[in-house]
Amino acid sequence: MNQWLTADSEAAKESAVILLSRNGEHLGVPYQWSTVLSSLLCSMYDNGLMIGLDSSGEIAGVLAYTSGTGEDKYQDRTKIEVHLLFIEKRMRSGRMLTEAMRTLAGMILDSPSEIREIAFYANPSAINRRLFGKFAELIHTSEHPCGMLDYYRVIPERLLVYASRHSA
Amino acid sequence: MVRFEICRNTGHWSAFTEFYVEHRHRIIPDYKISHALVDVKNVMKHGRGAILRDRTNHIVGIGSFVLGMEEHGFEYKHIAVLGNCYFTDDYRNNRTFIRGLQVLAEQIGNAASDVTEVRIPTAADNSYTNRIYQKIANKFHTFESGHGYGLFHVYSTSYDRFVEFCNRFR
Repeated sequence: MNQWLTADSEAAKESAVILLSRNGEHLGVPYQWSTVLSSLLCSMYDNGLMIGLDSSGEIAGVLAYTSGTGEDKYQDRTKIEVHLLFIEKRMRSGRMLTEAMRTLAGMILDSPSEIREIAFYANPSAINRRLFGKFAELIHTSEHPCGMLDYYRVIPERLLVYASRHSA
Repeated sequence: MVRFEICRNTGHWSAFTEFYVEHRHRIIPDYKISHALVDVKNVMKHGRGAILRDRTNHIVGIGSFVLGMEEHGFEYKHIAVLGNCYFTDDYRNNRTFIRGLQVLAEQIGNAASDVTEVRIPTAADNSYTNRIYQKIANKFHTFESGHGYGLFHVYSTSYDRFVEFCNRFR
């Protein structure tokens, strides 16, 4: 069974960084490696680095989020921004993705924090819009240093319903 | 035979990061992963990095430098500060080490023509690096790490003397 958990130990953080480094050219992000490092550092600081384990306990995915979003320079702490989600190719056809969503949404709803919204940016491709449109709302598309990006948002309750339905 | 590659793209930098993170405790015991990531970011922004590959294409070492001093927001660009250089045990011979220094000397000169000084920080209890750096430079000062990593020695030499030392072995 797949499992996602917060990388709160040095060993867990190391395994996340090693997995991303080994797949550095295949992360599917439009920005440079230095931006990936910044995202990792910010998510570690915010305790928002998560690792996904396969059924044998081997790391197979990484999710990094921070408190606040880039929309208002991370002022509104009732939102989180998912900066990076990577799942190894061997696990992409399974339930790793929906399990990541389910864990993240469940964690937010179970926590005493006031997080009400999950946001993320994505390349404005037809495939991405079809996938993310199933559970999130496309707010706008804007120009960034790395090119055009779509900005999505979803409330944790909706993400949990979607993920639970598809990971059952 | 080994070869050095200057980091220029995501493939190089991610490989550099992986090697540094995996070996960071051999350079500085208990070195935190977040500090290692900050180091890589600083090298990417303010300096250059290189990876060393063996004949089977495996990475067996890294070297790097930044221009300017981190504690002063990377001002004083005439000072090049070497980063945490590391070679795996099989490649810890003088020939490889000197070749690595030659590459760094070339890259420093190439990155900025007005560099006058090279500084080399290293953990005070690392006898291997201290033994080598003493041959190249003079001990400039010693400081206590603010993160609980103990004492560090900083060696210093002029850029010209650094180049001269490296050229002796060509």
